[in-house]
Amino acid sequence: MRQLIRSRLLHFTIVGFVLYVVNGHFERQNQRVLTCLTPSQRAVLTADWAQVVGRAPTANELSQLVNVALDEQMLVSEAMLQGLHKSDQVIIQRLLRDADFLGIKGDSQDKIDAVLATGVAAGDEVVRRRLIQLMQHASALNLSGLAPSKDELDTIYSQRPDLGVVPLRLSFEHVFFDSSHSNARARAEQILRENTQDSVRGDVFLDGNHFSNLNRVAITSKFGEDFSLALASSAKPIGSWFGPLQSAYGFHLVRIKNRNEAYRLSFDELAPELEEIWRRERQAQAWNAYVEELRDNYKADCHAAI
Amino acid sequence: MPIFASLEVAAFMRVGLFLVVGVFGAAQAEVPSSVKISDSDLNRGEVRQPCLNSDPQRQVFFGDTHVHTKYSLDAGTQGTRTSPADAYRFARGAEIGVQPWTADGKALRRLRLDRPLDFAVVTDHAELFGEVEICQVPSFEAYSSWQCKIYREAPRLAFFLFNTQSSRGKRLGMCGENGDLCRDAGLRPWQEIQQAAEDAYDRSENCEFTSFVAYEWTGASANLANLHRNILFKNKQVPVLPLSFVDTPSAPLLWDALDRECVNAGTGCEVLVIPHNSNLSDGYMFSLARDDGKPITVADAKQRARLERLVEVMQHKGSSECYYDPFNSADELCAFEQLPYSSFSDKFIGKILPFVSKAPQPNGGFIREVLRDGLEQEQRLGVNPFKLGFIASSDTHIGAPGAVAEKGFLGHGGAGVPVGDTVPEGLPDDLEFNPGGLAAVWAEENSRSSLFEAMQRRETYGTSGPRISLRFFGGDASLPEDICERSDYVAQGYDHGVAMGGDLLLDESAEAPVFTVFAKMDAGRTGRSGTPLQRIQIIKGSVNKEGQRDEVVIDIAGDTDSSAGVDLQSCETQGSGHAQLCGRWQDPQFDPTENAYYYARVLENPTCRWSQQICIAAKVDCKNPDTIKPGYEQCCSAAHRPVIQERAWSSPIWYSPSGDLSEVVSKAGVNNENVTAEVQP
Repeated sequence: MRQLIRSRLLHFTIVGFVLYVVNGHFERQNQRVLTCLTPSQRAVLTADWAQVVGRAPTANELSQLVNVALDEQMLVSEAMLQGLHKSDQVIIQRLLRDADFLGIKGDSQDKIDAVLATGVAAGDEVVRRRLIQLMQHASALNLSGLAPSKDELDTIYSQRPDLGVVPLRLSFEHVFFDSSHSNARARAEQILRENTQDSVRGDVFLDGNHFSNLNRVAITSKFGEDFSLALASSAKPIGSWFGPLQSAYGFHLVRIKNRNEAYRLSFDELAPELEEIWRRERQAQAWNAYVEELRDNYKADCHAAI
Repeated sequence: MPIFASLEVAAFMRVGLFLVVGVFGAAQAEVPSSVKISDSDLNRGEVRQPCLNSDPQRQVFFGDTHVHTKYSLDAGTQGTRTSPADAYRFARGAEIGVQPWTADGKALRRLRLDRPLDFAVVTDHAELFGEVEICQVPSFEAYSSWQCKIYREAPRLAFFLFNTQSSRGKRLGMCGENGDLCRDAGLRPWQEIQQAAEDAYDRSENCEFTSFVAYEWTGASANLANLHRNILFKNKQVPVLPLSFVDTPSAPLLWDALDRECVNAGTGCEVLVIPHNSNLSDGYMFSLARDDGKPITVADAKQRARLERLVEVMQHKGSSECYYDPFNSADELCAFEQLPYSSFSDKFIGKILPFVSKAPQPNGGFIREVLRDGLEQEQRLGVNPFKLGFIASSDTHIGAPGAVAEKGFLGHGGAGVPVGDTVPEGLPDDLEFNPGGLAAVWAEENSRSSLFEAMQRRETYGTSGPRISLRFFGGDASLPEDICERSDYVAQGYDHGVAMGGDLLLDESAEAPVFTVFAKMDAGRTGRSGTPLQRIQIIKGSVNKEGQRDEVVIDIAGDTDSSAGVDLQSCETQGSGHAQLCGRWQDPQFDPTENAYYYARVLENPTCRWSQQICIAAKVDCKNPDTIKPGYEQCCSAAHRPVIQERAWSSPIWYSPSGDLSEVVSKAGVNNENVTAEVQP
């Protein structure tokens, strides 16, 4: 036993182990510190913003830009700590291309190791984006087994009244009286009084005299807003002639043949869409929570300093 | 649209965008969940419910067949985050966010159409699908590859190299030795584009919206002149991957590949090829030579005529209708939205060396001349390779189909000024560009099959933005003298003539052909009435047996000497116009021995161009230099055209003396199953 304790091999092993642990700890400490943006990096963000927006960012906007940049740095660092770059084919191919560009020789593994050692990978836009995407994908996968409750879907259904609305639709015919001809309104009124409505008694309307199943947008497109509004709000019974209604083109005697009132699709009919909305909201929440949690694990002096 | 636009674009917030958009940011199309369709529901060859609104005499549907989203390099690199699904939602009336974006992912601008479209087609550049996918994920790209090392030092140079490589038909190094990596990576965007089109398509009985699977083939000639074409598929049956310029580096190779992988693939795939911006093609768009330099053959002409049945007559980057020379052109209306250069290379050269930039040329690819080339080829080959119907579209690069109003134009981004906020001072787009136009299609119903067949038979027209309704029929003297006063105008037109896009079939004993045009002004939008019409014209182009070319422009209805105008200080319109116009015209100079085409042009009264509206809003007074703030200098430049006369162009109707046409279009058209024109073997 004493011989074993005096053994140099053991001493080297212990020293080596301690060094390994200390070095590992040191490296992990280092990796969990965010590097603040340099003035030139901030200048690039400012310039990019100004070029698109047409003015310099405000202090608050610049602060947000910098924070997002730091968040990206954090996410990339975390992804590499988790080793996500070691198994993804897109990143591997990317690293090999980086190696070729840098003139690194050797087999694939040598090239990848060498590129990683240079620290180039974390600066590569494609690698960074891919890493973050992998993390987002993993975050989304964690939710894949979850299903919304009926109450949750009910809430979305009631809070989003715009979802699944089927608009009013009208089928109608009309007789047109061109306002560029004289007495258009009077002619229309006379024919209505005589109850002799027939398209041949009116003027030519290019889009025709019969329309089927049009919503208000389509009616507006063909006749103009005033006519569309008057027709949609008319309380005249189905099948009776009325008017004249004025349009962008003249006057119209109208007979509504069918009226399908606006309605909203039922909860059951909208269920797949509601589930998708719920899922997207949950994914966004989970991702935001994860990023928030990560921020606690990183030295965030830069966040505070900005 | 040229990927070269990115030259003009700075990379925007390369850090912030990705985090916010992410996999969660891309909105999904609202799927019509109530539609229950089984495989047995076959209507017009489609699995869909029959349309309640279907008219055998056809109705006009307005759409945009040229839309770029984040998957196009030149859109994505200037901050466009709109996905294909978002673009379709926008076309249907939903609001979208438009760049620029705040650091936390909020769009500084919102945009919504005041009138939804009936159909839309997302046409992202196919060349960089894979590069985008590899380099960005999930939404961005282009500062990527090992070239990003260069990019970080000199981003504009890097983008230039990147795009040049693509427009020369070559993959980037990052794509692997054979380009397989990028090709494979392009699968996902292509599938997303297909899925977005499927989700947006209304297969219910309401038939409210139609989408098509499509992409843009971004070809260029040896001198980098524009050869771009949109590839539009009739249905879900499409090639596994889009055939890009990299895969098929010439138009003939593209057509061959489309025949191989679509038309003759036995999958039911059908396709249309729609060239655009021949005004920037320096004459190469409609080349009469094969790739080997020899003249095109009968087979070449037939293939081209079969696949290329429409052309964009006008869009964001100008009108391609006709060449205008201020000293020699009889048709002054050809000056409409003509660009001051003949190719994109000349645009960029012109910024540095204005006197070196090549101005537009008479033979630079303007359609009126190309149509005459087609007549000449028909005399030589018996087949007209350039029998092109007209549409217009936007070529938006902010994923906003149908945003073509002059008022409130935010810029479309493509090749112009990088898209900016409304807050920045100055014009939001290059002065020579415009909001683009719309495609109008006469179809029985708003379904893929009905619209596609209408496009195949060229019963389409283009507008510069307004939703003008336009009918155009040609026939013989049996077209009633009083057709314009007849309530069955449309039925008479179909019964006694052919609709736009067709061929006149005149008896030997027939007199000169008769044409009739009926136009109805745009009804307007909420809170804004439409602009009255000023006049209708017919443009005739002909080539006689000796090869002599002729052109006539005739006013057939409306006010030739209209006094209508617009107050340039207030943009208030003045003078009267017409809510509807109709005319019947018989060609007094008809020569039955010469080939000819006829198309209609409908003009609105003058209004303020988008640029003038912005200049006025900025209170620019060109007589007072103090009022010309930075960014508004162009308001007072000699190149500024403050007035626009919006218009619509019908597809032509052709006449051939041989009568032995390569195509047969049913004269009756309506109610005829064989109405779709087919090239005879």
